[in-house]
Amino acid sequence: MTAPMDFLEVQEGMTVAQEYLITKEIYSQFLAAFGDENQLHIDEDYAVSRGFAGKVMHGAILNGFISHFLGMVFPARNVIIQSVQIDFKNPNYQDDKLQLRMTVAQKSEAVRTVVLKFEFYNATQNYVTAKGKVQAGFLEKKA
Amino acid sequence: MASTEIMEKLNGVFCDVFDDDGIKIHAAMTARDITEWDSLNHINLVVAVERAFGVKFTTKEIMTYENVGQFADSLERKIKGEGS
Repeated sequence: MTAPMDFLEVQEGMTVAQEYLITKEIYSQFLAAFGDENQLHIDEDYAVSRGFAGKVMHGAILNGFISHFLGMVFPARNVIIQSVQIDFKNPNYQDDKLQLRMTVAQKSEAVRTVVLKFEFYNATQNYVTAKGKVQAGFLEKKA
Repeated sequence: MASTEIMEKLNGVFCDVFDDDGIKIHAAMTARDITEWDSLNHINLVVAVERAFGVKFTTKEIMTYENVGQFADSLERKIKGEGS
């Protein structure tokens, strides 16, 4: 197993990617956890009548993928998310496959912080579904 | 004392970071003068200044600044390529 990357090893321009699938389980557990039962999210006919292809998955599910990405996929493990800015461009549907791609746009050694620009590409629908940026700090081990 | 041009641009960064268009920075200003200047916004400020001016600070430099004036002076020296 490769050792987690240290802050000093992270370079501007570095890109990491990961695929995610919006499964029925993720959708159902999100609904159960947060209770957002807006018709757009639970009523197929309603969603179609409003111009969508089906029930629209909650945009905040993508925030969950971002959390997983920074906590489990990005090669540096000792990071803490400080802020997330996300623009939802297009809808996602159940069983859609997403590709999350993050690039280190800025690294500040003074405050041990990186700014990552990201894009979610929906490979099932063939469009960019969301874009944004995450600011994350690198934790230091206390003596 | 940093130039008016740098202070004006720096003022804009402060307004953005602290989400307050009424901020008027001055040399003697410190974190105590801005309510929203907490530890996270301190990080946000450094990141935003580095991005806006295309410079980099070190942790040691950041620790030595006692007020906005010292920060701005250091910033100006970096822009001019005179180190910190």
